[in-house]
Amino acid sequence: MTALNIIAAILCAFAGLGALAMAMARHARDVFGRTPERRTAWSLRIFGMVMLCAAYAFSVYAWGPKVGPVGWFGVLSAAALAVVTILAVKTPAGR
Amino acid sequence: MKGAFRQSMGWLHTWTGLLVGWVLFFMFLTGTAGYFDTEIDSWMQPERPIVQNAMTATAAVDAGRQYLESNAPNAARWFIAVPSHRFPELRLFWRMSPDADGKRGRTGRARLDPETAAPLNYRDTGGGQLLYSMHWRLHYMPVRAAEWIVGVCTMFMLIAIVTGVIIHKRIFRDFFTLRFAKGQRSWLDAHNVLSVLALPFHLMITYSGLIFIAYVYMTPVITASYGTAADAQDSFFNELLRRTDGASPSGVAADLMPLRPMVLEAERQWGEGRVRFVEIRHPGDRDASVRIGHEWASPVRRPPTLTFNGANGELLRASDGIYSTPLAVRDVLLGLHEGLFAGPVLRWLYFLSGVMGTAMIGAGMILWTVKRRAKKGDAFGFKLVERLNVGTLAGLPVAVAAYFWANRLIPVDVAGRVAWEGHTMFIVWGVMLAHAFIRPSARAWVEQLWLAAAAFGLIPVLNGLTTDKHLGVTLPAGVWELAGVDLTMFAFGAAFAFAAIVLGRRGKTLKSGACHPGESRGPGPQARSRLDATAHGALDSGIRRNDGPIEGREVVRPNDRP
Repeated sequence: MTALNIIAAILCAFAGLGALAMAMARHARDVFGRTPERRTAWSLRIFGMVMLCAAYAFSVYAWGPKVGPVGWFGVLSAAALAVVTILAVKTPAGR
Repeated sequence: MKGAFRQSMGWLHTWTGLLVGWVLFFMFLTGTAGYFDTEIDSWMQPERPIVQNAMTATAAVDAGRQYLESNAPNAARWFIAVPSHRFPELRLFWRMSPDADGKRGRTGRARLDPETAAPLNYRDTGGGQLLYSMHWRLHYMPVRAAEWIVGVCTMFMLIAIVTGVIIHKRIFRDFFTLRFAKGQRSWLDAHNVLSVLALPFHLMITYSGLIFIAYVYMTPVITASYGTAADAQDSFFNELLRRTDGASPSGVAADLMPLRPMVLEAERQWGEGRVRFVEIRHPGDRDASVRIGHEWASPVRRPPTLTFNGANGELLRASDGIYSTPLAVRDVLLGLHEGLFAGPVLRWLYFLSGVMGTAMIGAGMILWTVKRRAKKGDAFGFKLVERLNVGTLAGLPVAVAAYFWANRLIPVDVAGRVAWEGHTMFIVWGVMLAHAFIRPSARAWVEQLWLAAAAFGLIPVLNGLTTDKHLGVTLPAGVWELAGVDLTMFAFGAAFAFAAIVLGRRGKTLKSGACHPGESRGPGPQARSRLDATAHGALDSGIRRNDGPIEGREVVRPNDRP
């Protein structure tokens, strides 16, 4: 079960950070070609925050209450690195 | 006012970072490798058998006690480390009683096969431990001196982190921003992203690093209460860590009770497989004590323990490992720093954060040169920084790879081979630094990156040629501790090759552009110096996604800014 919880934590962190990035005009433009509307951006932000909380919950399930928070920070760093890498490759040259 | 503040913080960030950047790069690199110290140890001793079943704690104390009774009967302290998944062998330590003149007693250690309890002897190697201990003990110098150097550098790092957060103008808006092929902008983006994404780790590792050796940097705190006597620090720590009980034996002999019931009691309380060590003080004395420690299970570094009377087997005390709040705070900081509680996934996350920290320092050092090349490219200070960057950011990885090569290539029976493994690393680093000063720096980058690519990428091949614990064996058997080392080395080789290709290709594209149709074949001296400038441009612009035709005018503009 631990392994499944860790995978869930990583996926939630990735989805959450990805949503937060898509709520930002510049990254949304690079990926979808247009900036999100205000309401969409706020929905993305709320979804992103909920996902980050879910990642925390899964981290605590996976590693227990003492190690879980440490694991959450690690998961966030790794997921954020993945989001940044994907966005950097997606960004049109010269922008 | 605000502008001036930010500017002065920027100045502080730049110069604190630059001054000790190379030492910090060394510390981050070796420390990051240290998260896999045990795995590297195993890799560096390919004679070790692949252990399938861990030994139980009860079997371990029986075998350990038997060995210690016949090999160290008069020791003041026995330590039996119970085999676990990460440390599959039965490891024993002992310390003899102090000499008549008060010197600390001699120590000994042994490793036993977890299946047969026979003593194991492997090749001498520095292993992952030497690499890991370099990150705060450096090398070739007394520990105390190294601790002071490391402490000053760590303090600079802490200042650089805090000022870095202050001067980062758009920490949230640029959270995910990494733009390639924009020269200086790209290096700034990379430096920012690597810093911000793992900021909790960077802050934790730096601050806890300072706390680790605070007793060295702030001795007056101890002196104020414990005086200046030679043993003042010892008595401070003895009292702090409650090592005072059972400090001296009674001198009356008494048989040590069987250890098995004590271990079973601990397993009853904690659960099976949770015992990490059994420590016996003054075995054979009436005042003998047996302390049983819980496995690494939380960031608190001091484990819960059970202490038994060694002469009658009575349970004396159960401790949860928290003696006082200040000590617990320190234990958590140190525990977070070391990450010994981390399982496989968390260990990889620690490693990833460490790699990000190392790369952050590297990107920052390169950024310093990219920013100044146009204006100060000829200054002595600039050239010095540039050369030290090549010799350290590319050269030190080559040296670390050489350390792994030395482990396989220095014959097993050579006297002092541990020392020579270390020498190899520093000789190679020295050669890389010399190479960086001799060659034009743009070429030195490409050459050393290729060398790093080859040195890391070929380690699995070297392992296959020299041992029977290569990927062909470890992958089918699922021995990920060993296979992981080979695969990680290969991945680093690929990453360095990628960097070398990007830099080299960029240089080459520019080379053909640099030769004007009117020029004769073969670059003349003028063209050659321009070639250097263009290859610098390649480094400055980082990874180019668009390798389209480069116009001549771009060639003479090394900084290729938007």
